[in-house]
Amino acid sequence: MQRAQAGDPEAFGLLYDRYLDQVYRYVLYRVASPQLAEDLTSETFTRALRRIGTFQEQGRDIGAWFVTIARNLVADHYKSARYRLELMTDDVTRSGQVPLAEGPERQVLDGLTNAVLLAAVRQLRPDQQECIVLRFLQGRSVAETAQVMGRSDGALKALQHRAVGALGKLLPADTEL
Amino acid sequence: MNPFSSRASARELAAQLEGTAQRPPSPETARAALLVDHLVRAGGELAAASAPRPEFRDALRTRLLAVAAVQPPAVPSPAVPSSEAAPEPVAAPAPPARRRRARRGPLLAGGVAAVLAVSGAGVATSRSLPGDPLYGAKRTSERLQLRLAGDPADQGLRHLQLATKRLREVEALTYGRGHVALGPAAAGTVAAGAPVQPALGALADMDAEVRTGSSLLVEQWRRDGRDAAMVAVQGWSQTQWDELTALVPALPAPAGERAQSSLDLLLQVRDEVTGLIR
Repeated sequence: MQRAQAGDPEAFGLLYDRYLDQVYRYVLYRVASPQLAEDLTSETFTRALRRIGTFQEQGRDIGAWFVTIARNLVADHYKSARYRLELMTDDVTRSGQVPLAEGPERQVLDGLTNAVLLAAVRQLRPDQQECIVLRFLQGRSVAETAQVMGRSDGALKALQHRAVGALGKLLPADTEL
Repeated sequence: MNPFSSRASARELAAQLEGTAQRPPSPETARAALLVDHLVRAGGELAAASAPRPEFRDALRTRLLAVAAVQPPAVPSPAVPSSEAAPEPVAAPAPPARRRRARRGPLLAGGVAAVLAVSGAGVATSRSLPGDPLYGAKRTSERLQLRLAGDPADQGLRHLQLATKRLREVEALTYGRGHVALGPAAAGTVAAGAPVQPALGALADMDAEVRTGSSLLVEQWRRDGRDAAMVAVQGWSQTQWDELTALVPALPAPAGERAQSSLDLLLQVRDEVTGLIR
């Protein structure tokens, strides 16, 4: 970390190697488009590189910092003109709305339960969706998820409870768990 | 909803998930825990299948390392908490020691050249071409990406990447749309009735990107004196010149004539940076 902050490119490269998958998957689960996930992942690491000097460890997880940057970019995306434009164009079928419907992800979604589960996750409120992605799909702890989302552990536990409850209601009534 | 009940349920679920529950779960909590179990399993299965593309992984790594090599060392700012919203460093630090310059040089020379060679891979938001309805949106997206670029060196690199992207568009207009993803090595039959105006526009835009990008990188060189960036631009301008030269015979007449001035500009840039390298 210190070497990366001192301007050692290879040290930043090692951080990139370690956290790329986490960041990419987080973004992919949120935006559901591999192409857009690449764009936002690219911006995440570019921004992190630019601001690495402002990161202070003090017990903080650099991975959580990367995800926080990605989270802000995802939020910006959904507020952006580009997103609104995508919604109005045919591109939406390729890059906006039908995530995981094609490509390798499809293979693991062939089990109906996973497909239904993910479709339901994407119908949740953004904060609930984010909580589910970070906490359960990515396996982060309560403390790590709370840190990324800027909440206390207690508030995060309440959010995860609401999110799981809302998700359960979105699943088809005959879903067997 | 009873807030006390809700809070208690939240605590019960949390304890159940953490394995610290003292009592058997209520039916609601048991169902919620089962749902979480499905989510965790789905996450594990997806993780194996939703990794970034290797080409994207490599191209982004190369670009980041190239940018890291040309940007000033980060300045830790003790007063600022390490949130993502931390401000940009206000002033660039003094030029680094020669030892650092020597270490970064070879990396940058290879890194930036590689970045510029793979320009456009993995970052294009659209394959639309000049004249297409969505082309304006594509250019808007590019301008947004440029605004997100950090220091002048990063911006310079991105402008040169866009110059290569414009060249790819001229190729696609000339050889057909399928050429976009293939690159110049796959040059083949000239598309019937290749449009002239869009190609002229793309060439003009390419020149603008070349001017802006090379100026930014030369300015950066004047600030930090690192030759590696100039070596990279030298190699990039030569490659760009070679590819455009190969394309010229296939261009419709007005575009072919216009391309001559683009070729002259590329030679001018190459010669300028060559003169700066010590």
